[in-house]
Amino acid sequence: MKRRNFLRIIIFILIFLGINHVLGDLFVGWSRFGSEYGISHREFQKRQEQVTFIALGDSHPQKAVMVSKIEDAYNLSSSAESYIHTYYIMKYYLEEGDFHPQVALVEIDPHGFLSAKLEGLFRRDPAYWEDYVPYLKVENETLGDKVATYLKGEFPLFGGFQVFLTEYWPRVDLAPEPSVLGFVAKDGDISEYSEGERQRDGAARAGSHFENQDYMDAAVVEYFQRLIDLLNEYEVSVVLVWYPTSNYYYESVGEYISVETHLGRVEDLVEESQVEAVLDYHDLFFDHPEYFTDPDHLNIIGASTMTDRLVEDLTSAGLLPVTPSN
Amino acid sequence: MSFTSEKFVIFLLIVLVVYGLAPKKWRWGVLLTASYIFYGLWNLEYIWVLALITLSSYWISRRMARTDDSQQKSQWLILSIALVLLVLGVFKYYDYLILAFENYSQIDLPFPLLQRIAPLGISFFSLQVIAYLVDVYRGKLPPADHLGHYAVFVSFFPQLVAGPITRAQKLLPQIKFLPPVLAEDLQKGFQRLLLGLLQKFVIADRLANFTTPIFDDFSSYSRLVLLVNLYVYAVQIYADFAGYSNIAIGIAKLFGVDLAENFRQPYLALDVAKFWNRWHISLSNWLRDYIFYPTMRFLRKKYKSTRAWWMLWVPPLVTMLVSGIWHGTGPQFILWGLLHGSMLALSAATSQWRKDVTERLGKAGWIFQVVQWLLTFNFIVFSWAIFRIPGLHSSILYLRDIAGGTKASTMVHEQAVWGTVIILVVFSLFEILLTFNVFWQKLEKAPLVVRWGAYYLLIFIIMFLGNFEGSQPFIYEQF
Repeated sequence: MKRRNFLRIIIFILIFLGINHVLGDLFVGWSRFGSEYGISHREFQKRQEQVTFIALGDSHPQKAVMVSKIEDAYNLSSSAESYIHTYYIMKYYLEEGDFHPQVALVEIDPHGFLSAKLEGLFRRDPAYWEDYVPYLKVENETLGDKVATYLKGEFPLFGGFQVFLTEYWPRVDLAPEPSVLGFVAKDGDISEYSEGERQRDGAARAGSHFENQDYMDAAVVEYFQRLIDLLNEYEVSVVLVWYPTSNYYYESVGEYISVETHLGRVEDLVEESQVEAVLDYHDLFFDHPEYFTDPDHLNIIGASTMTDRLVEDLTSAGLLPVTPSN
Repeated sequence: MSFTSEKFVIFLLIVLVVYGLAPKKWRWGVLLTASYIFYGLWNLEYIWVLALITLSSYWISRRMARTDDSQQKSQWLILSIALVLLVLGVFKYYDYLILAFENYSQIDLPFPLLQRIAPLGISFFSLQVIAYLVDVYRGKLPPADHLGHYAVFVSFFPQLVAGPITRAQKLLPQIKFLPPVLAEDLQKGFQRLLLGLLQKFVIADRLANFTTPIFDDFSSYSRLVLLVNLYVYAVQIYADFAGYSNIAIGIAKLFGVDLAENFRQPYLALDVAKFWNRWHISLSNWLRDYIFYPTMRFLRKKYKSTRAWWMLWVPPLVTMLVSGIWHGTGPQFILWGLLHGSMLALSAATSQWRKDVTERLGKAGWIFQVVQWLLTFNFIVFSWAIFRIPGLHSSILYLRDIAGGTKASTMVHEQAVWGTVIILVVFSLFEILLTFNVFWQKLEKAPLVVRWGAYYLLIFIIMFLGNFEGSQPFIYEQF
């Protein structure tokens, strides 16, 4: 082949990469504009300077910590988030943002330590999360997965129509879930269902989390510890929280892992770190199905009640000041 | 290793670079090695089948050409074809025939079942080899004089899995004089590749999201959904197979090799005979040359008649019966073949009459042509139900449900409907562009900016609209 033609091919590829970069950024900005975490993160970026209290984790804290009851607080959790996401989000804001929190709630629910969380990192909207997560540097993962995810992040238009159909299109019809400072309020309660239906749903939900999963996945555990160390490094008081779920869910969780020993395992992980308190609320509402929107998520009444209890415990531990709002 | 996998992209780039660097006399060696690696990565345990058919047909074709004794020649031909058909039959039909016999007769046969999936591409390379053997027998083609070149002809990886079935007359000379990597070939190959990827990922795989759940559980859906689903499937199967063919032709062109064309807007055909001249052309031509004409010649010779009604009906019925059996096992494929065979005969029987009526209608002749097109298109669409749904009983139930036999009322999710509508619009625009060939010719002569702009547009359409997560295997790979 002539040198001129070879040069043409190189120029063609470079122009393609340039167009891809511009269109990709536009698409990510547009398609995530109205998404749950898109809205939450944008709002957080505006407020980060004032935020001194932060709730971190996945959909459990997102629907449980009603941060409007706490001064200068923000709930930065998002559904299906893993410790790997959370670690890199915190690293980004602590190192590059104007963010100086004093207290951080870190979720320690058992499903957060499963291998599925690692898989989620590579499946879930890599283009959005690449602002935070340097995929090629994620440790304990195969090079193939890292490269594939990196490429998905770099070429967000790849399969973008699916994102349009599944994320943008439904929003035309459905109003977004009400969210205040990152807290997502859910209505509905499972007490409307029969005992048998609640048990069936609880078992199904636990199965969807735990079946064929490795508990205490090495990579997930490593990033959990890194998160705690990072917060310690920036002198943020760490509070570990095991959020409430219904007894229907936990009856089934017991079939997969030992619920009794979970707390002990987590305490071992943070043995050498600075943790201010461990709050175990997992059985707090076992007798209150009316506080749950589904087997493992609180509804708005459950969230309000739980947050009152949280504020009380944090205040008595000296982690929140005694103020009229608290 | 499918054409649509990331592994294949890496494989293709490596082969292209090695081919480009290889000395002229070893280019065939690069393609042969690449083809066997390609087959081995997909189906290592059956690589011997490919090698056996290649070696035996090469050796027999040379023996056949060396003898002047016509009886001996015929014996060699029968032996070689029998060998190819035996391998094909054992892997593709043996288990089905044993089970069908046992079920029908309630007698347990003492033969064990193979329970193996047929070697990939066997239906395609078997036909290619049979055509070569028959042509050598007929003296239309000299036998291959280089085992390496012949082995590339049988196993050339772009066409190995699902065609196009390219004749030796066209392919062997090209393999003998393989060109270097040329910019012009790269450009043309790239264009075809893009078209194929668009048809596969954007049209076929997206429509599969709509059709697959409906075919899997059709008794739950309303009449309207079942009816629309058939039309959507007609577009899906066309885009899937035409997409495959374009990808195969495009990949071969990157190496400077021209494969046979396989499609020419088949759904615009005015009768079933014309449809088969536009759909899977390489198979249709094969069936015409090696089944239809020989059957016709045999009947003419035996019964000395050209006007008997069965001269009109028997050759197309036999041809399409073979086509049905080639496509798959089971009575539905026989029925599908016979239906198409009957329509082929009907097309031939009414051909002159239709021409006369169109001429007599003068300016209004187009209305009659639209009627013919509607009848043909709907026949093709409805016959896909028999082709697609496993089991004859289920296909009949599906058609009965459309005719009013269902009380189910499930409609399809609105999201799927809009997704499908968007893809059908893309498909229609795409077909219109293909129909006006002048568009592509103009594009080739257009300034670089316009040409590259069109390529970028096509690439980003594929990237954005493609269904990569839920991509399905090519439909014709299973044959």
